[in-house]
Amino acid sequence: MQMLRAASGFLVVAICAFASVGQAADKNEIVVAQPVLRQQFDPTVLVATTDFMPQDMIYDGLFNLTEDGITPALALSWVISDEGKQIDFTLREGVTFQNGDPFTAEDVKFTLDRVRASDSKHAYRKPFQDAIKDIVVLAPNKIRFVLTGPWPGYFTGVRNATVGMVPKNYYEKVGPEGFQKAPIGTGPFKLKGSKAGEWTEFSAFDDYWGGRPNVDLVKKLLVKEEFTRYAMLTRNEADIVMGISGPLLSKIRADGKARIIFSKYSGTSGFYFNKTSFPESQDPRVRLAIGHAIDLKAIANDILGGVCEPASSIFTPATFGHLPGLDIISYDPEKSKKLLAEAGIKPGMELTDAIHTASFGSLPNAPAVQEAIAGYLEAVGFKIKREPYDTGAWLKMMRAGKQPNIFYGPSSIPDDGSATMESWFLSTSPWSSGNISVPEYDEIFKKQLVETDVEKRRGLLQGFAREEHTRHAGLPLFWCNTPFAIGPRVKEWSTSLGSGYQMNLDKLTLN
Amino acid sequence: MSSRFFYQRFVQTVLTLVLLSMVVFGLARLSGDPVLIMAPPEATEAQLEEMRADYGLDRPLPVQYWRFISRVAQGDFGMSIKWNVPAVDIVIERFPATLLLATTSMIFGLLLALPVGIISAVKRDTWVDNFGKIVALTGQSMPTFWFGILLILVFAVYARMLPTSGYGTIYHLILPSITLGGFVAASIMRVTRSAMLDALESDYIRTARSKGVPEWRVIMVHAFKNGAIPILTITALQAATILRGAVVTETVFVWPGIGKIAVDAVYARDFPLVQASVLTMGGVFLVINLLVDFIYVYLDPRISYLKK
Repeated sequence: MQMLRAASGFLVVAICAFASVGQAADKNEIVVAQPVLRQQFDPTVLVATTDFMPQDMIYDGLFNLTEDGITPALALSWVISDEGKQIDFTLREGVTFQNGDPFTAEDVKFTLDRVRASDSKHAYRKPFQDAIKDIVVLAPNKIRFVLTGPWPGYFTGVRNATVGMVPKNYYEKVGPEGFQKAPIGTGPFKLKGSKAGEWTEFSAFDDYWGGRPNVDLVKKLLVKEEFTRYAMLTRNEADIVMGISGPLLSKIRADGKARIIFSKYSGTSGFYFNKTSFPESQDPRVRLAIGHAIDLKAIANDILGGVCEPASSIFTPATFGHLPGLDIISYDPEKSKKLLAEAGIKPGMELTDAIHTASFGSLPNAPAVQEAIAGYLEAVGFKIKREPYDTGAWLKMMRAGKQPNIFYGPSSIPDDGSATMESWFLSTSPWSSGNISVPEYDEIFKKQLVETDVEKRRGLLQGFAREEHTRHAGLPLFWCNTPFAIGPRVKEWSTSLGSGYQMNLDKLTLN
Repeated sequence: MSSRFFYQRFVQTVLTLVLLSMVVFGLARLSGDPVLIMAPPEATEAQLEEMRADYGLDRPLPVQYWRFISRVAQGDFGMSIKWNVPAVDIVIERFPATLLLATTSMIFGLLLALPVGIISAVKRDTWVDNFGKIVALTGQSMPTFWFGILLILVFAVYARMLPTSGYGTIYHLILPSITLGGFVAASIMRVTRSAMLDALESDYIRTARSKGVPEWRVIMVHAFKNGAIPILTITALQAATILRGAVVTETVFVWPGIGKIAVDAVYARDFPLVQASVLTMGGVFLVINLLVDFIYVYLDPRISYLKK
């Protein structure tokens, strides 16, 4: 009986808590429903790329990468000298952190020293550790990076630009754990509250150097089910909805009440070959035949709902090193069959294909896309054995170098062509696991690492794109955008390039 | 009910929980390496090893299990890998929401299942009975997530009567309760019907009727009480189904309960959180079973689990 009483008491508490919590968005507040929620608020301890999403709200980096190129953020200008081994930054003056502390060069040094420390927990610490020899404070608004060698990729890599600056004095006072609980930055929004795995709330920072955000409060809600996110949009329970694809995207377009905007070129994807288990793929005719077999346009329209477009190169038009004017491999099954016959591939050849059962941001609706690709390959005579992998198993398989005969590969945040090259096209690339080994590519990569002239470096990367367009070591599949469905309350809003991690919500205006 | 019976069942429950902890621990490890999901694509093997060491995943499995179980005994399930807060705090914070949803769903399920089940039995082979059977079959055949999405579409998107999802008012509770309650109602309805059919064909019912006992009393007192054991059994089993169904229902309706966070934890290979949520749900299930055993003995004194 006592247990029953205890249980009923607990239930009463639950009902009271239930009645006291409200959720509806107020006039100057917005709700963002998203399929992924990260709550890593300390920018010096970045675990996953998606951690940039909350950190972009609270912090600023030294500069921004936009469609217009590099634009100043906390750094107003910079001078590169000593053959590229020294960068002197002039910092923006009059900037304050959200706790009132002034932003100075000491904060930049403290932040980047934490990122590049030997015990750093920052996922992208390696380039900072390798490239920066020392950081010297010259004046409260002047700081110098002393480099081990030229680091041209620093100014074309969004991961470098988005490292948020933390206040040295406050961080040292509260420690890493305290900072994670109550983070302070110079960004447009302050962390107001969060519930692990449920939501995060940000309130406007009145003294933001870029001007106070137009909305008072942003609530980011984790909503895993895509249909629920769509339903929330139709009922104005959410103002911005992320992760909508396929038929629901078409429904929103047809309905006309909500709009779709894109964060352009959030990722590319390619199709790759295991040279050991599928040696026939080393014949360029076979790779080209596979390219001709796949109707990228149909997949982009019918499965990807126009979110992606067929790619002519593994570099998107927003990638540093993109080469305009390349052709997309045409859909021509007859030509494909002819090329396969010329290469000695007989109809019925069995190939295993890795089907990733979830989607990365760089390829929405990935399982359906991969299934369609498998179908197109069967149409030209291959017998495709599908091997399904969830994200954990897929990453494990890829990291272990146990790729099947053919496999797709996503490349997210393709800001600098060298990043995509390093991941997929070098003999040492972690994701292609030695399946692409072209000495010319390794050479181009080495050259661009030390080339300080921006245009010459661009030329080197374009040279890779040109060579790859004839070689097709990997087949470019799609350039994808990140769609955001926005409700009628939102008047004006545009996101930045890339993965959509930089949402620019401070610039959003409501009707 | 003897204290020996109580003690015996209590020990069995604790042993089952320990066994469950082993199964959950083992299955979580079998599901893969959380570091492979968390680490960025460029992470080197050294970085992966470093991350594994941070979370204690580099130690031998028996050491990890001993560390886990000895901490659990002190109420510490470790830090959630994904959310960076104590896993037990997340579960405790969410438990009231799951309990609330489970309770309202069960109430809805019983309110639907018992009258329909009883009427179906009383009006056997009539259109009422056939209707009840169709409702039961539909309820049991339709996947919970699909039923939930249909309810959102009809009542939230088209009719605009109820919120799509979330937590906060009594209106938010209606659709998830119907989804979950509808699923359990189907089974309870079927068993209620067959239990009542058996009871209504018994000699004591004929005797009661021949004595002129009012029909409602024959059905609700004589037949229903005697048919209660299988109904209670299926209701208890459905309590477990509710916990299972909550995993899906909470995800569809963004209900901030244990089920929703458990799904996310499984995909993220967040071992501490998976273990905390599954063990909590398992513990609740075992307690329900324990209570049902005690209620059996209360309802039918002939039942005894002790060896003579």
